[in-house]
Amino acid sequence: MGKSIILGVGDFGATAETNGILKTYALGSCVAVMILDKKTRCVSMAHVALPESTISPSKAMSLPGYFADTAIPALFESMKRATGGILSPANDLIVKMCGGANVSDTNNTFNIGKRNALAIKKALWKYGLAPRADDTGGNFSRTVALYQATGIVEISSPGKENWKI
Amino acid sequence: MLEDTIKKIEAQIEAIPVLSPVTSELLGIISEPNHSLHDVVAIVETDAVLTSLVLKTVNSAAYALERPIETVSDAILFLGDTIIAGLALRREKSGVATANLSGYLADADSNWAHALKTAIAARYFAKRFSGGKVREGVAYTAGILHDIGKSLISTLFTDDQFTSIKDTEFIDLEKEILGISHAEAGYMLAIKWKLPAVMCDVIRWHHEPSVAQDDSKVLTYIIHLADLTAMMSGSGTGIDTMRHTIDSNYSKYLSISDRDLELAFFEIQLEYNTTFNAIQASFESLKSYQSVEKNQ
Ligand SMILES: [Fe+2]
Ligand SMILES: [Fe+2]
Repeated sequence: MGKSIILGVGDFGATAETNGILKTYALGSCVAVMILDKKTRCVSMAHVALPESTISPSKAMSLPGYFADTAIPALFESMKRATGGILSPANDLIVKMCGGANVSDTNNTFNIGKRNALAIKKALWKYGLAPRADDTGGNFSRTVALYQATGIVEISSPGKENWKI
Repeated sequence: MLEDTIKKIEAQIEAIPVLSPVTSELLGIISEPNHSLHDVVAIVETDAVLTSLVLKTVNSAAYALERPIETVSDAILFLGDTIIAGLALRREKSGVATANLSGYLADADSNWAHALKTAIAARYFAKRFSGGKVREGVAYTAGILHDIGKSLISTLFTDDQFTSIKDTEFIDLEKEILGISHAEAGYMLAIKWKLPAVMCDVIRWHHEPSVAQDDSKVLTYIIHLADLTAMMSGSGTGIDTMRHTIDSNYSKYLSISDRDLELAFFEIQLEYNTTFNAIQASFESLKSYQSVEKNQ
């Protein structure tokens, strides 16, 4: 097992270390967005909690991973830091995402999970990216581990068998 | 079957230590509209362990004070008095907010984290969106206590009961499996503890707020919303996380927009991070202090 980096709500990080693991716990309506660089083998993850940084622009400066729109550029920067400045172009990047669960809601207004997932896709699209694997939605929480060595994302949820994307 | 379950729960309630006098007194005072800081300080100071917890919390690295705070009254001025209720409840021997919820596949830390985040969220909603109808101290206390029933029914679930978990509201699943929900079990304990009527009502109806008595409706909606906020932001209690239905009628009782809600999510999380770390540090230093004492 390599070194694990645990990411809290709104955190983001990257590792290019062999066998490194990025992990985040108990995603409810939050979404883990992950970028994998095929060339440098650097992987990154952000634990995004809200769709838009406009609700608190000043705080978004210090916590860019918290919001969908600021998290993607923050991931790029953290990947560059992990590789000494190298980030491959979009067609060598793989994006995966999971989380974004929703409580059941008759009026369909209480859907931050859904809006988070959508906002991340929008933000990715700006950079010519789209998720290759998308495990969002549902009404259960997810704990996520991304393995640098294989690029595999392992997801667990209380009472369920683990699954991979 | 149901009678059996009720008997088991009653036996557990019988075995659970009642709230300590200091905690009861604190909860009473904090819910009074015109209580003074002095009243709270006076109660805390009668209790050496609580005093030390308060001082360790305020002086923990999480708050990064330039100079240490040395008196209870300065500590409460800095922290606010609601957190004192949190410290007192976490210390309770009954362990209702700190019990292992193995039946829910949640550990003691998740139980506490959920209680604390719900409390912080509830205080936030009460302060900003209840139009002064719900006092912050009451909202906070209700947040800590809302799920006390989980520790009572957690042990009654068997391992295989959730293997083919259905997509239904978890309260209905509890009723289907055990004949009783954690909300109803919590209500039984609340009555036994002689908690204020409003508190009993909130515990009973926090997943079905529309049924609550008129006097407790706003508070029940606050806890309903705060509970789901905690789950959505990563502080659930295992298997039932996110498996509840939001009653959107909260907007009739709380003037809160979608944007308010998003900002609330963010601010609650920041406050929670600091408070959780501070309280954790204070209890850890208490633990190490007590083990030194034992060894001497
Ligand atoms: Fe509950
Ligand atoms: Fe709850």
